[in-house]
Amino acid sequence: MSSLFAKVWHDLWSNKARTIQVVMVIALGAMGIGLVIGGRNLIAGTIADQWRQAEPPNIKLSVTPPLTDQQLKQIERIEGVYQVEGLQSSSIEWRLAGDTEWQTARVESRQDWQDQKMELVNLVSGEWPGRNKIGVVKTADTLYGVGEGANIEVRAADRTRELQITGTLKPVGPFPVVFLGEPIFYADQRTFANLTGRDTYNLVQTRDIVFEQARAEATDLAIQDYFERIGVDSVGVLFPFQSRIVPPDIPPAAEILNALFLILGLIGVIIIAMGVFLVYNSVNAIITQQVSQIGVMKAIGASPRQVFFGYFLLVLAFGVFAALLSIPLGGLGARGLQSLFINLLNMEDPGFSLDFQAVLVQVMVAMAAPILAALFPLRTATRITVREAINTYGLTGSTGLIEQIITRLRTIPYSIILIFSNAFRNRKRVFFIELTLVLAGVVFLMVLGVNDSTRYTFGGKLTSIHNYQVTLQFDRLERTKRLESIAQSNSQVTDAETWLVLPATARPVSQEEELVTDARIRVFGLPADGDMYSPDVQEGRWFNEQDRRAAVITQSLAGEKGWGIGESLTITDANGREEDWLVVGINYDPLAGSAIFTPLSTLQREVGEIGKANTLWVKTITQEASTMEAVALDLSEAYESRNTEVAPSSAFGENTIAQIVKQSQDSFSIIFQLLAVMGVIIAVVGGVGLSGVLTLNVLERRREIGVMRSIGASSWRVIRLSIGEGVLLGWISWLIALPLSIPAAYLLATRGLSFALNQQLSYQFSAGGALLWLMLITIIAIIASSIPARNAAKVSVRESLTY
Amino acid sequence: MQGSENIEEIIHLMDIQKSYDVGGNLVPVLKGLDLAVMPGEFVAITGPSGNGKSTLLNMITGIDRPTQGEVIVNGSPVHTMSENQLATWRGENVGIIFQFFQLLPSLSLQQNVIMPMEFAGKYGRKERRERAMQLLEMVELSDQAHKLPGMVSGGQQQRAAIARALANDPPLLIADEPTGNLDSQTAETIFELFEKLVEQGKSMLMVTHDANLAQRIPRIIEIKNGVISCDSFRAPEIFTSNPVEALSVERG
Repeated sequence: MSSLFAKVWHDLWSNKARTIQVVMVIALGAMGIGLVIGGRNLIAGTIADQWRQAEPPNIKLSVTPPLTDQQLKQIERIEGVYQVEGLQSSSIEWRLAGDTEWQTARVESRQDWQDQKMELVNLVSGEWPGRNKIGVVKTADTLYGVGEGANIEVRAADRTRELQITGTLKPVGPFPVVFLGEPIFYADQRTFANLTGRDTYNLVQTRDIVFEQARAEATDLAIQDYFERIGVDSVGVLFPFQSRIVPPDIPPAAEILNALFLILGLIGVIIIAMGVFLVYNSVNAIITQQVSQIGVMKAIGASPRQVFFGYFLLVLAFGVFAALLSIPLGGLGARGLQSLFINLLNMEDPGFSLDFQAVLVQVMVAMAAPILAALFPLRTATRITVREAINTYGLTGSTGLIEQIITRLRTIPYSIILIFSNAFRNRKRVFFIELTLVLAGVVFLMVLGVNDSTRYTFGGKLTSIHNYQVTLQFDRLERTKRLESIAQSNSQVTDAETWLVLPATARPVSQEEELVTDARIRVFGLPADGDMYSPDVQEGRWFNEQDRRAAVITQSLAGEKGWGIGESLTITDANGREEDWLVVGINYDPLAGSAIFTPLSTLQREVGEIGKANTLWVKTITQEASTMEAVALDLSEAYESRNTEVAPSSAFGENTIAQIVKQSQDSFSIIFQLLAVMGVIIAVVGGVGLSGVLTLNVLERRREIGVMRSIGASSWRVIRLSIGEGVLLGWISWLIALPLSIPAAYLLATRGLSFALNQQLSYQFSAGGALLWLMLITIIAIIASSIPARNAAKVSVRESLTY
Repeated sequence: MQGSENIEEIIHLMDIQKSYDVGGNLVPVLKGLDLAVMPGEFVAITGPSGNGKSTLLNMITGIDRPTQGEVIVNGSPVHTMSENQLATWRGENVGIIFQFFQLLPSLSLQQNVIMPMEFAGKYGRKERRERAMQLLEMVELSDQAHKLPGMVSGGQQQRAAIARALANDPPLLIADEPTGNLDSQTAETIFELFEKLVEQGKSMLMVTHDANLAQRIPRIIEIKNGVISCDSFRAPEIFTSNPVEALSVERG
């Protein structure tokens, strides 16, 4: 079959533009899948490997008040604790020697840097922390302008000291330094105590010889029992959901990664579907163009099977070229994703590698997609009769409904008529290209909608609920009047409130005993008519001060446990006190997670701490981030100087609303970046597909264009028609994609990502995104139609009218 | 295959009728046509445009099917064959020469000539190439063998198409206006080629509007209003090697 092979080769080579377009469309689809699968495998593999090297703990807790060495030794005696380690962490201020401006940072210490047990930290260069010598986290020099060899001043607990940075350290395994927003310094115990005035441990981690979930839960309960006896509160700190227990083979953020790549995978499948549609269009068009050749081959003896084989070879060639192109592109894309996460999570770079599973899937997709897409057109090809190949060589056109309507509209300029008529010349082709462009538009608008939704949720929506600017948490319960009075003595503070925030568990009243599956919650006791919190009640009502044990639960908790209005819950605090509460309302709060809100006075009474609170919420004169940070630091110092110990983190992590907003948005930014990459691929696929369709339209209209030029049409008129066609198809796809993208973005934001990341997102329509896509699709259409437009203009009258 | 009782005829058409559906109306093109062609005959099909000449050729080559009637070509009942069977049958029994040459534009002249041999599975690989070159040499195109059709003249393309039609050595050649797109000099060259092939024993049916050429063909069949209006034989002295008796039949 040498002539058939020769025909296939010539078909590929003689129309290079078409070949490149079809190959690119398939390759982009395969590359998208390869990027997602390869990226996921490489990232997950890197994280898992390096997490294992970090010797991860099974249980990690933040404790209040901090623990002593003696207490750690007691924990070590608990069954299920093979190793225990105490860590110290505190907020400080720092500046480079000679600088005037103070910045915030975190200082960490542990029992013995050279005998670490869990969550290891490596010495990258220099010395381990020693007396008045500290280390700094790797990348602090690039991110925060402070590195090894620098002399800094450190201010904490009303003391200022000058220290030298003599070493660079790096946590083993994944560690998102960039999300912290501030550098981490490492000190030995003595230096830490000198800086902060504290030699106790506010973080504790434990590990068993072999991890087993049930045993770890039992150990955690035993630890909690011990804490109860010694009057210590504890909360989980393991990323990302403040878990207390995490199996060591599940690295941090595994759930987030899985959810993220599931979403990306779905988009990858959409890209492949688009590719299949476009390949169908292209192969259909090739066969349409070659009807006469197929007829002639049959006239000279080709059987349908032989015709099928010839065009099958052509499609296979597209697939092979696409596979060859997509493998390195997919590999580079996956490597890019991996590098992004390596930098974000401050991990060691394992070097470039190709993921075998991704390569295999890419090859299968690149080969299978065009064959699948071409099956129907190939079948059509075998059925073409010789008679169909006997051409009529005049101009032909459609006389369908669209053309009949258009020709009746006599006042419309002929160019508009031609644009509409040309664009809808081949209905099936238009259908598939519109399907492709609409898919591209829906995904693109969906991505932008999700981005706007996260910015809204953790921006305007969040601050409409959380009205404070600064918040602090204290190691112990303190008198509310005292806390508020100290706060209000700061000239930048306009208002202050105190709340009681306690860890607890909750279960239905009908369940008599505590179980490990009980909801781990936080109870927020706050004034019913306070100024710091404006509840967004979804069902039922907010509580009032007259309520007796009324609780408003968050939507997250309600959804997680299936609880609703009228539910009676038994809430058990850290001291083992149990009381029954009635759910009167469900509110939406993107920050609080699984939480219950109750009147402050009721909660104080129930826990026997009337007039006391452990958190402070403050409004400042201005809402500038720098003012908030300054007030937070000033207040921390004010309390510390009055022997009121301030916890290193607030109830919501950061101490200012600006930092809370930024941290929440930053955690989504990487998701948005990844979604945006897929959005760009989709836009490119759509553009390539549109260009292909317009090229085919021009090819089919060669004779018509020749006739137009023979009666006076200039090149510019011909180009304008082609561009007009492309823009019309683009705008139609925008009109269809826009309403479809709204429910898609709503579902992705409020269901998909919310569930995956345990963060309740509020949907917001992206008007800016809609306009952006309209602009982009117009640009894509103009670019996509420029090559076929140029080709159309180059058609000579003589060539097009002679056979 | 079972043939008709006139097994000596290379073409035997009986009561051929063909109608087309045009906008919901059945338009008859061939209205009951009988034709017999003996092996070695050179037959011209003439007549006004739109009267069924090309349709008649399509019946014979199996490109189209009659609404009614029998088409026996080289002993095979063409009207009963499937598309698949027709393709294979055509490759071995008929060589078609089109008005617009219909060479595959992406293949060289030699590759175009080789193609039917590959489809029919005839000859070995080397033999196909050699045979193609012989056929191209016969039509005086051996030096253009590796050129694409677009790089040679119309006359050269038509000669290449003739070589392709002869690829599997079919007994019957069908030509639909083979000189319609050529200048008179080139047309003359092509016609002389046809005459030579007939002399070599091929049977040939040619639709032509060229009266001058038609006059040189031994048998002229005129199709008018879907029937054979005239079937005449020229005087035998021109074709001294052909013992066909001069016969003229008028059909009204």
